[in-house]
Amino acid sequence: MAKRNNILNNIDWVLLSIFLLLMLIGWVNIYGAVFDEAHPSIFDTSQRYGKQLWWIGGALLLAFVILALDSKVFTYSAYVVYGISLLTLLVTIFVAREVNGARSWLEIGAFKIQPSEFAKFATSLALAKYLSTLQNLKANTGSLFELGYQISRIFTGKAVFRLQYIDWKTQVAPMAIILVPMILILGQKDTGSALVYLAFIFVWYRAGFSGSILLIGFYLMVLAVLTLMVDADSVISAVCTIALLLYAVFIKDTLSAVILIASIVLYYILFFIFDWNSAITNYFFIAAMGIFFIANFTAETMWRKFEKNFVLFSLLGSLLFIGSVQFLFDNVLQPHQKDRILVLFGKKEDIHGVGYQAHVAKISIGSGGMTGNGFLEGIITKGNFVPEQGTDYIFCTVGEEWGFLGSTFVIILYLALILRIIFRAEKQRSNFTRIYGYCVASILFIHFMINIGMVIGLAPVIGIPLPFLSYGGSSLWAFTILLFLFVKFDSQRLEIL
Amino acid sequence: MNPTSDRQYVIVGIFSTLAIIFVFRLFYLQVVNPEFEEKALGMGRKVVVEFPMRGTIYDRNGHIMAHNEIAYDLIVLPKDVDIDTLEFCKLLNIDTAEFNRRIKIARTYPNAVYKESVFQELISVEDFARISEQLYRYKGFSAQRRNVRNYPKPSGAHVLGYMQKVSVNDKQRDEFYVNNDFIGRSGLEMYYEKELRGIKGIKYLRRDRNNNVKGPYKEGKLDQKSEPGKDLYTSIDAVLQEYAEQLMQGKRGSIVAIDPRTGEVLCMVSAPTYNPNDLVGRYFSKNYDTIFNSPGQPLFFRSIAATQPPGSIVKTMQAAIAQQFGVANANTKYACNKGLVGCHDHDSPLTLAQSIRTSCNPYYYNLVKSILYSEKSGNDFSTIEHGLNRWEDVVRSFGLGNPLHIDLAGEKDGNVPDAREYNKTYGKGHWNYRTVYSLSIGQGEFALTPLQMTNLAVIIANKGKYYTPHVVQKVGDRELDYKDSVHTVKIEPRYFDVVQDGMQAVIEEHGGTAGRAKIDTLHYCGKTGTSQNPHGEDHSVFIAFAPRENPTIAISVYIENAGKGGLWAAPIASLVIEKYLRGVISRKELEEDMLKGVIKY
Repeated sequence: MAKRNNILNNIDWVLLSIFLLLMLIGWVNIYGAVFDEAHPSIFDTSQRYGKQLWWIGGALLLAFVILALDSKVFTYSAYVVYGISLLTLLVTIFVAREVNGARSWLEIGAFKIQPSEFAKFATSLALAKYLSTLQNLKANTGSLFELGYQISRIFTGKAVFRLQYIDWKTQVAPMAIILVPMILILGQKDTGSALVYLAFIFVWYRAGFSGSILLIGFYLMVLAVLTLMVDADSVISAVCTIALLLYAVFIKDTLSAVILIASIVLYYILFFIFDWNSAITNYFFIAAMGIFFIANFTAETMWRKFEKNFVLFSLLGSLLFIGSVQFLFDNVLQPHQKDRILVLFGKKEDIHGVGYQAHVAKISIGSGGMTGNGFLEGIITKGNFVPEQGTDYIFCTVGEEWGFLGSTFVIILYLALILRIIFRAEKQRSNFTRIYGYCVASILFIHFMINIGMVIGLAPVIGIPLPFLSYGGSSLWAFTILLFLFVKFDSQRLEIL
Repeated sequence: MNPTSDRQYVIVGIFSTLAIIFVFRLFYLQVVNPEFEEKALGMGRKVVVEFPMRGTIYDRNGHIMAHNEIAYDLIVLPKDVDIDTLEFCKLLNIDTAEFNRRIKIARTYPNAVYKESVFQELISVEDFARISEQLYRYKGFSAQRRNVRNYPKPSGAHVLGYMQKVSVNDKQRDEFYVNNDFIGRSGLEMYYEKELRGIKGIKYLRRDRNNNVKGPYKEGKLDQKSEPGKDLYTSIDAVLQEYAEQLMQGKRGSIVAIDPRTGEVLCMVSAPTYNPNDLVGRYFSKNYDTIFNSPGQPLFFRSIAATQPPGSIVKTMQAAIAQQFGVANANTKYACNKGLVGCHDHDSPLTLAQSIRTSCNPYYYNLVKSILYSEKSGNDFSTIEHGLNRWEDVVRSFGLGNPLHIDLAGEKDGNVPDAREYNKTYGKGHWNYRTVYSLSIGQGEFALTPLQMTNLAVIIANKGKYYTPHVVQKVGDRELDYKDSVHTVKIEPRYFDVVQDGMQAVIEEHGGTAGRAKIDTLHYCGKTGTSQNPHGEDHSVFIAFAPRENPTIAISVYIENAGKGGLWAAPIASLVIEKYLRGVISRKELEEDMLKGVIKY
């Protein structure tokens, strides 16, 4: 009993230390980022640095309350919290004023909160609770190969579509837990926050769902990047070529294989010599391939070959995906989002307009050198050249004033925080705590990846905060809750089963 | 154990890989690539340049010859421009097309994002007064103070020299210069560029994104104070300079006057000249080509760069050398044998002094022949080879054939031939006295600058010594000391007495070649020259120094295609001498003739 009550003995001091250190670094750098000579005191509450101190105080209070409560409060109320969160997200869409193109801030009197920040831990709780109740999750549950096989059967009349092919309990329900808040946040036009939900891929994977999800995710990312960087037509050509070559490798009939490879070579010779317009030739290419596949697939004996299914459905899936990426880009993305992507891929240079922020952020960080220009000595930081430097671009201040050593230290701190969470999560007897731990680690990772990637010019401009460093009450408190729920669960690992 | 617990390593691997990628990227941005640091300074740091006043140039009496006028550059930061273009164009007196053209150019500069560039340069104070009260309304535009040369009197153009915008080369050679800076390109402006230009003041300021200044950068630790350029105190007599220029109107040529006691240049005229105010600041590009292409090449600094055969003025020197070599004395006589070389009608035979008075060509044919053969050395050819080299050695001690190292840019060295030169042209053993005799009367391969001609007069005046000729006496507070720059020629002083006798007779005695140059009650010495040249009529040449006792001025006048030295050069020289020594001209009629005289070219 003594052990149970003395929470101080059981909480993970490493996590707590990193948490405190990151908040301190954040506070100091917010001071550097928005420093106003008329208000030199770091405690001046008319300035962001003074306010951030209040948020930090609030965060510490929140952490204390969470640690003081019994963790059962959270596990029992997980679905309720999730439900309230969804409701708030929904209300926000209609109530919120538009700020920077998004409707994500709920205003209650003088207070402003961003419900999408808090939805992350709510979703994590719900997902962890749901997944932990599923028994005997197979390693390839939800495998796309399996799905492809079923679809191919339906296609050829070997089977009819039946609802029981879909596993509601292990596939649709957990997917829905993630997708519903994501869609609501997209409804707020806050693409950045919605993207954060991709973090759950890692949770999904670790929980036992098909391993191909990571591979496929990576493959699709490459396709998307190529489509936007080069153009859809060329990527389609390339994908078709690869599919045909794979097919030629698997085919038993040597003559067919030779004809296939020869025609591909011929196509490319003609393409490069006559400089054919790739958009037009693509249709020929696709049509020719369609005929080839259909001719072969109608041969009854080849039908069950796994490789053929694989090649065919990968190809169809890829083409569909490339088409959707192009469609999304052309018709769904807002002009400023398109520009950000074009700027990232160097297809558009506009350092006065949309490209300015990314451009100046690189200059700010790049000017830091090995050891930085020193506290309050960053010339770009001091001149307020980087918009949103206190919030999303806080890492610029770190880079410019503390240099490569300072920024590397911060990166190491984040990696240490995330890996420590995984390390603690793997120690749990309880599935719930482990899955929740992965949720926390993955969300922190996605924020870390997108935010720093954006600031150092490796990702498009997607405005999401850097956990614990960026200015702002909502995000700091939401991350604090997210983290300290795990610290609390972890401290009670001997009791929760 | 959880069946998929191995997957934690995949996740840890992915997370760690990304962190490593970030660290590499940061290493590239912050440590490897230096461009961002420069860009950051360019963006966040505003550099304000304070252009120093260029040194003033004074004449010997404290009159200002060149000083500065304030002008303003209108500078623009294209990204900030947010103005009513029509109104602005009206203010500047330009049309919209011109406005757009300039903005477009301003945008193309490499650092146009954060660095202002000049939109309109060197606006006069009067125009700027009108513009400046409106300027606050035109966002993106500001002004910087510059200064440009101004010349109270439009004379002395060549000596002062002109300035031009710096070239790419200048900027590479000396990082002092940036775009739109001016640099001395000729005369004193070029020679004393480093002293005149001063030190630019640089103020580094911090600014914000909207180009508002936030305060000093690094508390102003890197700032540099501007320091005005050093003033030049020259030996030019501005009044004499102006008068000499008037005399040279309508003529091409040069006047160079030097105080033989010190080597100070009193006036230096190169005609045709130009108004130095026409090549100042914004007028430069407008006028340069016109002036450059004008007849007579006004930009050509004849006084130090035009090398011509000096003609008979060198007979003075030959007479001295002959005595030094022991082949003649005051009484040596030669008959005027026109069969050797052409001459005019005069008494014959003549003594040494008389030969200078009448400028007898056959006399010098013989005299120089005896100079060149004065020391026997093997066969005939090696004797003349040896003789020519001995002669050349003495002539070079007069400062001829080499630059005199006057403190002006662009001095030429002229030519004094030696045996090697003839061996090169004709081959060893294939030339003789008939080949080189024209040296005796200052023709042939002999070539001098007008400055060197004056220096010859200086040497005769001083009986064998001269000081390095110079224009500037004092730079800022620093006196330039030329006392140690005395050069002594390889001829004993006593041999110059008879030369001076002859030169006085040139002016004062019947039969002298420069009778028109006589000045009442002033005893002085001169020698005419007639320089044959391939460009038509002979050049008229005259050297002189005055007074004969304790001379204070030595002069050379050279006028292209004006015929005999006595016709134009000598009278003009006498007027300059009279003006310098007496301040007033007694010979009004002669002065009138010379001022009005125009040589047809």
